[in-house]
Amino acid sequence: MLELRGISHRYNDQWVLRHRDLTLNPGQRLAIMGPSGCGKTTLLRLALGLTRPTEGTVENTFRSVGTVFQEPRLLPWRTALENVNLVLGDTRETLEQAEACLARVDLAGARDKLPRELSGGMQQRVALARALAVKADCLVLDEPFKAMDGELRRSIIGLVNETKAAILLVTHDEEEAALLDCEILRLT
Amino acid sequence: MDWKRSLGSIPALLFWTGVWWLCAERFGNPLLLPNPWQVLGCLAELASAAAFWQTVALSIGRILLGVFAGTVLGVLLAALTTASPLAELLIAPAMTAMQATPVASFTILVLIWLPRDWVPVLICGMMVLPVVWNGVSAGIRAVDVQLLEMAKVYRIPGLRKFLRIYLPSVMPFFRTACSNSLGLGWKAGIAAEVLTVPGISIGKMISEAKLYLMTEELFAWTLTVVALSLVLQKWMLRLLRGRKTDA
Repeated sequence: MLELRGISHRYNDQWVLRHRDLTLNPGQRLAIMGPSGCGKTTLLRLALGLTRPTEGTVENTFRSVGTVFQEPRLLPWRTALENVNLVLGDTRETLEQAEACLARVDLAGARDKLPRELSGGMQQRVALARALAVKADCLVLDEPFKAMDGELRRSIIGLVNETKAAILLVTHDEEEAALLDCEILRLT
Repeated sequence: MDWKRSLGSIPALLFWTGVWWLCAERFGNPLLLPNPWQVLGCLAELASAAAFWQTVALSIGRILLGVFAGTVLGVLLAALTTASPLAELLIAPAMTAMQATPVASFTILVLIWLPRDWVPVLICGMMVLPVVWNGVSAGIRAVDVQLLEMAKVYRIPGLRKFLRIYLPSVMPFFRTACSNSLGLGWKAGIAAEVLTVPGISIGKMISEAKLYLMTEELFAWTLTVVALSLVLQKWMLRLLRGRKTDA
């Protein structure tokens, strides 16, 4: 379970979040929506333990967390396959598993390409393959489908839908939240 | 291509050799300025003796030992100062002072404490240390924070994080620092040898050639120093390029 209690956070003198509570139970799906600058990404960073809240507490009892940041955050000197394999143990034995994960996001043909050789959407799919590869019980996704469109976007959303993991999703798109069957938390 | 670049520098080499020749002809006194043929002849004669190669080998050995020690210490101190603000506060001024102090002052000072054979090693190390420290510190600070955050979320263990994120990020900085510091260390090491005249060394030969007005020999040894500097720098770059890292 992920629990944020009485969370407030400010950057310099600017409060971006005030007295927020959020609970994500195993298997639960929650979409955070709201205008730009309302603190959605900050909330995810707090949930991931990357930022310490100015006030309040964060408790994460999930065994493992997979994430897709707004940026793909791939190692530029490693291939798509090696980037996925990195989170699986980075051994020869785990390569097959990494390859299967890439195939699931329809990138089997791009396994030996470096991130700079991939489009923005493809890089984001590698990041998603990496998040799914760890078989986490919680997925934290920050606009993961932003650089995809049409049929591909629907098929990738379908792929995420197959997981039993709890999902904390930041999106601007009501349709995405609906397709993933998420409860909605609106920030203002 | 390396050989194409080398071929491209031949006209410049011929031009400056011609200028040297003309100046030597103008002076007309080999004691003041010998011509290129005289210097090459002298060098060929020196190189035909085993003592020449022994001298070269010992000087290279001393300098490489100094470069190695300075590099290792520079990397360790860079790791320490980027991890600890207190260490940074203490060590950064020492590095600045080391870079600003002339080789001659250091050499004379160190000569009081160390046997003369070891002075060039220490001087060379002291010249290399701040350059490597500076380069590696900059490399560590340039590591992408976003990648480190990703590693934190996925709980990537320390060694893997070092090998896959830190090392490839720092390597380009380290390569540049090594390339710059080898040239610097080589020049400082030879200068220290000239000032301290260790038993068998290029510096001692240069010093004696100057003392006995053997200008051709002085030029021949200087030519050797320049050629060795170029060869060592190329060798170092090739060695570092050959290292298998992700970068």
